[in-house]
Amino acid sequence: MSRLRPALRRVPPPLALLLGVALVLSAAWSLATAPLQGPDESEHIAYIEHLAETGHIPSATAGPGAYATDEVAARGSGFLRIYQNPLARQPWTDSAQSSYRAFEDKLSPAGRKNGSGPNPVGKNPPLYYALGAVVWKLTPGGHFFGRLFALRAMTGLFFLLSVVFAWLMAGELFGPRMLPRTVTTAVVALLPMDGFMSGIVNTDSLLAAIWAAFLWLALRTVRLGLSWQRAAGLTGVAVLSVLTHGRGLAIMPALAIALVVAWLVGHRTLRTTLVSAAGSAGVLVAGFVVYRLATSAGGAGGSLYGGEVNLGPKSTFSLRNLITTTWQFYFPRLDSLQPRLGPPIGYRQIFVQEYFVGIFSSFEVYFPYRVYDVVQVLIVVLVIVGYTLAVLRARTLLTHWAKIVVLAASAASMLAVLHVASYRALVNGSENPLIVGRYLLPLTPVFGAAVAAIVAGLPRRAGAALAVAVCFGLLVLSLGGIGMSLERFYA
Amino acid sequence: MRRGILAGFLALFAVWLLTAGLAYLLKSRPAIWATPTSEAYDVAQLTPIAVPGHQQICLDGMPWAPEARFVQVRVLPGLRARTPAIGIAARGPGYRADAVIPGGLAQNARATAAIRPASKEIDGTLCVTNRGARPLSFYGVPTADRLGAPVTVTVGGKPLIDRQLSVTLLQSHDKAILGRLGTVLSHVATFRPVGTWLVWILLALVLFGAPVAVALALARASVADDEVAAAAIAPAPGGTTPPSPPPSDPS
Repeated sequence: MSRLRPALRRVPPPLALLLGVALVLSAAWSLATAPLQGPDESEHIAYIEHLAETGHIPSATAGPGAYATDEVAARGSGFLRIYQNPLARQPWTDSAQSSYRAFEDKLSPAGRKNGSGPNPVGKNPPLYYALGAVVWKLTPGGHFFGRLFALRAMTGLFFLLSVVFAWLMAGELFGPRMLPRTVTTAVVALLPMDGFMSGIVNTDSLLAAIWAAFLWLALRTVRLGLSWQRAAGLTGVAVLSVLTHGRGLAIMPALAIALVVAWLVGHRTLRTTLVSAAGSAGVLVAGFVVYRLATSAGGAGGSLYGGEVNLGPKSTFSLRNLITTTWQFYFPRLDSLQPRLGPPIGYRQIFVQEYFVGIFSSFEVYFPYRVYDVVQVLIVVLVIVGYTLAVLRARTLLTHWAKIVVLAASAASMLAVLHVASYRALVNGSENPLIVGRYLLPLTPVFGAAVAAIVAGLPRRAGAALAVAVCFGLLVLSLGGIGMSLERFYA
Repeated sequence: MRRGILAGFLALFAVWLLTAGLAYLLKSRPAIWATPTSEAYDVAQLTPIAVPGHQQICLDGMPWAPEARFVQVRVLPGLRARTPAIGIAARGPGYRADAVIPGGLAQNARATAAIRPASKEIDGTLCVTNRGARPLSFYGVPTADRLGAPVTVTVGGKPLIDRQLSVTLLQSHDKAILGRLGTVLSHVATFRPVGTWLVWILLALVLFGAPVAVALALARASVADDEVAAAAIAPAPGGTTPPSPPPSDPS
């Protein structure tokens, strides 16, 4: 305790305040979204329960059922009927609660072990679920809804970590300038989608925290130069990303580029280079061993990951078609291009609607369309201002090329994996494009840093006004999303 | 600058709260007490249930309560037709309430009947009677679908296995969320290990604490930047520009 107080006193006030805001928003999102109503939340909980109760990872393809008996009963008591149906409400009568509790009290231990699959998220690697299994076991009372509440709180902790790492990352970018640093962190803390996802059981929030830590460590390594400890630390975080989700594999190209950039900037000796490479390789090997142990002990038989590593039949995969499909995601179709595969979605739906502004619950809670229109225009204005500033200050920017390359490579790597996985799904006949806004959560610190760079590049008063406008807008969107969710489930 | 940021942010937020926020809270809307069976949101899941003339459709699992003051079903009399009168009968242990919805409703209309509420929460039945001579269809959902509730349905006394009537119990036709905030927040606390008081505290923190904290964070950051800028341009006691501070670890 005597050590904790001075440590807490050293937390910069803007960070402490933003952490408080993030905590409050995360708790509010957790309560505003009814149990089991987040995207794939039932499946994530089923994975955690099965891992906690049996020590095994559920199968993605085989088995008698995805959910254990207590979750089946919870869904059957009204929570399945309200899923994606805004006309329905969860049960809130005393009798509904007491009858579920009575059922749960009579449930045999076997009734918590029978969710062996097929569970579609069973292909996910086990890190988030292993942490969740610990929380599951430690939750007092051992009741299903109490455990669900605790799991959501755990996800909220990952959100707070994202905020802390975003602060540290922004410190590497902006040095002692506190306003841009605060804006970067505030974007992470206030973005409605970040808050919403922190209030439900899902892997994306852990992945986002890991990526924020990676971005900080990568920039730090570039600034301080390569050493085996830094290379090993950075690689360790990358391994955590890979052990969290298939999309976490996108960190590997970013890791390679960060290490190369750090090497180029540092002009290290051959010996230092070799030792650093050995540090990185050692952690990679250790991570692979952990992965193999986890999958063999879990019984997944090495079948983890999905479309992120499996490109499907080679005959259907065409680089040209991938590029034209991706082009039409962002830009209008050129006459020479074939029509885009899949449903007519693009950056408006994924970036603006589902990510920067947000669509909540399981896609049935959303703002009036004019809100998305306004935000889309404001984003275009911000991009134009940012581009103009970049041109005007190109020389200054060039002195920071290493940091910019690391951030851009991380963003590009994630976007490339998302588009390849989406294309793979579409080209193999799926109608689901497998790309949604929440997949962009690992990039929130990068977007936050971009906004903060514009704030830093503008004259002081204009920069401060932009900081106020951005934070106000994001906070109001968050409160609006929480309010709409409360109405949708409880009014 | 510090005051400008604080005042600017809080003024913006106050304007938003008093306009958009308050308008949202004061907007009237139906106050739902329970949806014991589902209504299809997706038209593809809409499964009409035809009730012959002078027959009734009944279902159990109705959570009658002091708050359940209106029964609502949706009707499908036909594109140009109108409904006949519809009878509503709510039953439960020690509870009995009847009502009639006058005829004349058009296709897809919501038919709502005010009923005498039960004095306490009880599990009971609901019967809806088609008082006309011709069959009348109601909104329903498939029993086997995920929308299906664990209820037993009969039409004219015969079990109906594959579909169930969509029923909504309302507390009020038309009430602002602000007027029943306590009820809404008590719903939030159900199935959770938290009390309603904690939800109230959280609401206060979200509405008033969060904006103040964000404004303070920006203001404190701006002050820190001002101090650094002032230190950089202030003349040193010796009359020369002070040397730049050594680079610090930003972590």
